[in-house]
Amino acid sequence: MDFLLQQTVNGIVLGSAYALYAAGFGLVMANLRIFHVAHAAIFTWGAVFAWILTDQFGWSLLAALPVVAVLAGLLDVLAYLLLIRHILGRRDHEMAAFISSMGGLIVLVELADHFLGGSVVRIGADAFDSVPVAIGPIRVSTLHVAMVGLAFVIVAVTTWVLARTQWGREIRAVAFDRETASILGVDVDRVSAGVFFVSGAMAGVAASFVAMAFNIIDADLGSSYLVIALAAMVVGGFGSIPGMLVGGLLIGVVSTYATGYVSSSASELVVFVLLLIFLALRPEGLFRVRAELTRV
Amino acid sequence: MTELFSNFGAYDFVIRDGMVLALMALSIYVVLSAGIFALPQVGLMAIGAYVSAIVSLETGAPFFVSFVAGVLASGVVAVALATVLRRLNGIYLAIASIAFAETVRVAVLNIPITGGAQGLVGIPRSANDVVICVLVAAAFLGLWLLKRSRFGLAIRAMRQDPVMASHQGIDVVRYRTMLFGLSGVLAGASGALYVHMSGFAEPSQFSFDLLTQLLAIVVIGGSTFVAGSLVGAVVVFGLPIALTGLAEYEVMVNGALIVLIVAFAPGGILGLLESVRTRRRATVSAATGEHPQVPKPVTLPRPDASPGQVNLEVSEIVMAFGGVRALDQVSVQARSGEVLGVIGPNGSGKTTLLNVLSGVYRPASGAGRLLARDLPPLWGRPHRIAREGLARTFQHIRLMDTETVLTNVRLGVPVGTGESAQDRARRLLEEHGLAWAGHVQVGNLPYGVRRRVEIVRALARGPRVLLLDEPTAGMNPTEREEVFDTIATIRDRGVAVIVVEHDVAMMRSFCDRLIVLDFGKMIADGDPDTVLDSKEVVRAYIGSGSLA
Repeated sequence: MDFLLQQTVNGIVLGSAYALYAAGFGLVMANLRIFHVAHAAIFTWGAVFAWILTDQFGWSLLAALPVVAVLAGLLDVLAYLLLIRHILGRRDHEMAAFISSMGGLIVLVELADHFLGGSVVRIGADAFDSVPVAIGPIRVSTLHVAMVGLAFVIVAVTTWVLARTQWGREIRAVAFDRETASILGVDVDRVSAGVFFVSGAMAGVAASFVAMAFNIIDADLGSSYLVIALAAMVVGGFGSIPGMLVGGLLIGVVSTYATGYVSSSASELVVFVLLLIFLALRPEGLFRVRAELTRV
Repeated sequence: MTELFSNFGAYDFVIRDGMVLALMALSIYVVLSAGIFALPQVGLMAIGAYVSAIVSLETGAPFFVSFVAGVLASGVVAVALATVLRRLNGIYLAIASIAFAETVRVAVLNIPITGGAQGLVGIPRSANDVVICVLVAAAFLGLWLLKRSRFGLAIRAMRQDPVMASHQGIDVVRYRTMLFGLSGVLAGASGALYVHMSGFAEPSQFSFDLLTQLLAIVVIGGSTFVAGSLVGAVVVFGLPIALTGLAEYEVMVNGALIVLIVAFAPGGILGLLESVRTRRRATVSAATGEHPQVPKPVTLPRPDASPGQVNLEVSEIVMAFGGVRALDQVSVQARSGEVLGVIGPNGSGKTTLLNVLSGVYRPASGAGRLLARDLPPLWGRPHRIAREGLARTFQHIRLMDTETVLTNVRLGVPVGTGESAQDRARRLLEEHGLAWAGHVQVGNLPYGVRRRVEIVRALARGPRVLLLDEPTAGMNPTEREEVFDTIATIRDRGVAVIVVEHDVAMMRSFCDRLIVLDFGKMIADGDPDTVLDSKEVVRAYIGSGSLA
């Protein structure tokens, strides 16, 4: 029983990082209907930025986080400008944007590989003064508490922004119909760039945590968690930010159980099979139902 | 003798790899060129590779047998996958299919018979250069022939507009499943070939990186051309050789090339070449300048109203979108030799009615009959209704803009008419005074002519029921007159015609019978003069408070 509880807590910690990764992904996907795979490279670069600031400049992780978020956000805006913007008006923009974004992914991953000299780097343990905490039989660390807490705060704030602010309304208007939104005076370009910024910033924060918690950064960091992030997004439902939090937590818990009770290689398989089941039976995910009508 | 490429010195491995991956790229081409955004191919390749390797290793079967086993296995899995993912489209399909490929890779890692992470070694290297060349050449030739066939035309139609394609009798779901199967066969073939060429198989070969490389090949070459895979493979494999000094940047160059191609030459290298060629041809034909006079169609007198048998009938149709009842208990009969007009204010349900009749929607309730067929089982399957003898045009013209008029009309010709599709299309164009436009690209024609091309395409089916959705929208009065004359000719051949239009005066003089819709309800049905003078119709159009 204690083991199960401990696994659940570990799963939630892991899942909150997945959720942030997925939420950034899903934000772009829901609002621009594009599969921006280069997001995986933004994630990698987020971890690299965190490594530079903590390891090279000696900052603490908490001080570095906002800067990492801004840098990763700006990098994603750059990706939008170079890879996506000119394609959105095209007839086959879904496919074209994916392929263009994939080209960007290749370039960014290669750049990271060259930057790191092809090796694995680590964030030192002194970047975050983590203290073990025992709650009854369960042991967590302050780093884990901070990860989960921050993930919840970011998700809550993003949901509030989307639902309640003028900027959120503009984003939803663009998501619904780009052309009409621009006719109604929404600066579609600025809104899209903003969505990419927020999405990139989330990737940056998620990557910093993953880098700190697993203590491994290489050029393929983002790509290796890509399918897991996709799974979290699909399970939670494309486009619903709180849905993706639930999806991320669920995937985190399920994969921790699989690791704990079966084996570590089985955990990936379990996650992927869960993903396929959802796609086949409930592609709209747990939360959002999008009925796209055929218009003639 | 079987080592054809050993003359190329150190490059022989590159050439073999390039050929097998060109074959693999074809498996991506077949789905992308049909507008299906599915990327399960790397997983399917892994299935073909491992199944054939295991058959070779466990049974000692000859190459041919294990090759066929691999191809069949991945083909069957591909068809099953198409069935499971039939509800998905666009980026959702892309995500699902990539997830499938990753699942296969992870499964391979976990199953004992595949050798896990170490993989399989000692596979007989029985795929020599001759075998590779023959198989790759056969695949290219086969797909090239397929592209030129009717199947190829159907696929182009599907890519541009699945709804339009299904109204030409094309079963979009079945075609999609077949294309998945074909993609699986090609991926399985290249997988089987690959392991019997290299002699080993390991899971890390079938990763996301391979997909990016393959997509680079397809996109750089041109994703709508069969030869695009070959051209792309030459570039992707040739570039590192040309850039030997920059070896460590070769992957990055590929990535940058993809971005540039998508941005500046979406059709790939072959698309770029083709557009240069057609531009040159277009300048030539503009210089010679031809535009024969459009012959005026003969106006036929309106026959004494003697409606024939009922070709299409629906009763008490209810079609709801959320809480809105777009059609509420609507019943319609269309008789042969009769033009039935449907009018009503904007949003009254006219187009919804046509969409129900042609099978785009499944009504919540209601019954119907098309000739001898019961309609409800056909709802939601426009291709079946089209094959039963119903043709339609659309409110927003739905033609393949990048194809010629002749090709568009050819798409409408049903299979098995006895006459060749080409001849029939030509004859119809001639009959309707459009022979001059046969080889013109639809996108270059004025709006009014395109409307008429769409009507001719509908007639190519030889329909017993014809639905026309605002056939004269955006036309000038002379053009309108011409279209209504054409409609009268069609009617006189015994076709049941249903026309949706806004021009009430025109409808009054041309239709044999009118029905009026208002907020989804049918408020009048009968002789045009009687209907248009009825109080309820006047109220629907002008409003009750008006003094008019």
